[in-house]
Amino acid sequence: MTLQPEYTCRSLGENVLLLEWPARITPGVLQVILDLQETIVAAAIPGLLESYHTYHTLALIYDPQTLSHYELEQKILAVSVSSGTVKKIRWYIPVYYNGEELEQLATQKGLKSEELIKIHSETTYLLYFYGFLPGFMYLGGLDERLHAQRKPTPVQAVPAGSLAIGGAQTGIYPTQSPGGWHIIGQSPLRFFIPHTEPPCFASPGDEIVFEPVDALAFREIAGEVEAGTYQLKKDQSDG
Amino acid sequence: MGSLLVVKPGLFTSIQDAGRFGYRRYGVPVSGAMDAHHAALANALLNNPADAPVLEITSKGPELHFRDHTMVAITGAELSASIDGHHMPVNSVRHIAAGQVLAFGQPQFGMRAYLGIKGGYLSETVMGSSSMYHPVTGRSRLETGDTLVFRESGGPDQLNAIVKPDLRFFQSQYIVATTGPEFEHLTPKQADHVRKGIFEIAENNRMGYQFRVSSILSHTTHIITSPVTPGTIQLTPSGRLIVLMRDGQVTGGYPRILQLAEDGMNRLAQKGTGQKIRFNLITLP
Repeated sequence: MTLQPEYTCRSLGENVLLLEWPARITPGVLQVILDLQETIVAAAIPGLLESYHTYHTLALIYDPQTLSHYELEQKILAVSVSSGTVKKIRWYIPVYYNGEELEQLATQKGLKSEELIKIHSETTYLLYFYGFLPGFMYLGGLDERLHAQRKPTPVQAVPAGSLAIGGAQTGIYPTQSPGGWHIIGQSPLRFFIPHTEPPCFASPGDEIVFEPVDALAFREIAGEVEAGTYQLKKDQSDG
Repeated sequence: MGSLLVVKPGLFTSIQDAGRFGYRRYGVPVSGAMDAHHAALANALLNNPADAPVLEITSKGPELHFRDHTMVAITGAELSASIDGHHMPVNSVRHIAAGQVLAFGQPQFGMRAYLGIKGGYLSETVMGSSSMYHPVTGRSRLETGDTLVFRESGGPDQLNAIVKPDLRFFQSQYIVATTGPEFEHLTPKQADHVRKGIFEIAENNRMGYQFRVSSILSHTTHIITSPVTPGTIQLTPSGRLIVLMRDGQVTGGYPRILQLAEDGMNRLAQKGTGQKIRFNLITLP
């Protein structure tokens, strides 16, 4: 691979090394980060404790008593990166689109509710990373026609499973939390399951599609999720 | 094994250990004791492993009825702990007998105290840690009626000498900080204010400390969501500094102006709303 890294390094505190790419949100940068992360983890560098990423940054948490950040930088440069071996999965997430906020948002955007639902559900989203809350997916690809400033006054308790739009992003609140996004529906799935490994079913680099279901199907699926019998629909691609 | 009953939970009492590592990639914060120094001291006084679970007690302490005997240590803030009414001073170790009550009174100094127990508390371990944080663990804090289990019920060990509390840890106004990735986005006047200004705590909890708005720090810079870590100090557009603490989110979109190391977080965790601090800002080459 390239000899000169495309990233720059700097410290965030005494035990975090940041690898930073130019500040953009693109699937290409995500793939570079995921490939490098996979390679670094496989290299099992002593003193490297964990890693996580955001749109254009890979954070490496290390033990400063075992190695310095300079040494860690050198070791990262020494690993040769191969293309990702992990297969991508497209997940189909059932969603019951409904509610006052959906209608208000549609009106605000000059759309009928059905049009908003069509645009939102016909997009395939890219899962960039998890952050903000356990299991909160940062998804890319929201259609520009649905971009909406977050609400001036956040709500104290957005219910778990709420599907929402904020700014140029869309996502699902995995647990109840304060939030300023516009709620356009609910999903009956669990997005963060602490006693399972991994606790989130989708991995960064996977794709997410929202499948509209009606209120009855929502309740049926919720029951199956509760009973542990629901089978999540997915496609596995080779690319 | 032994157990105790939580008769009153106090303001915010939870089991914490050294933290939950390896799960930030799922958006799971590190958690762990807010003042890691005094949590470790409680364990050291009891000859426990340094990362044994302790009880973190905030300001107004709980009332605990012990069903079995064991050894306990209290460190950190002096919250007037007592066993059956007899004061147990901070940094001391005591035997507590079955039937005795451990309670708290008026805070004297500091914000957070640590009640260590011989062998550590036994509690649900999720993702490698007993640190309470919902939704990883069932709840984030203790409630009335909870039973806590501890590893050893045992007779008195040798009681060690009391460790003298370092009052400067609690009283000093200075918090050491280094510059964060977006410090360069500040204007010279803003940077000067950060270096020399006095900042009053407006709110605090395990997720973070918020200071009162400084209008001179208001800005329009935003960054694409980036990694943050406990100790990262963000600046909101209105000019409010927010210090992310142990339960803080792992990613954020506000500029990262400053960074606290472990020691800075431990000391800040002993300060309360209304108190004022200044940064001793060290710029690394």
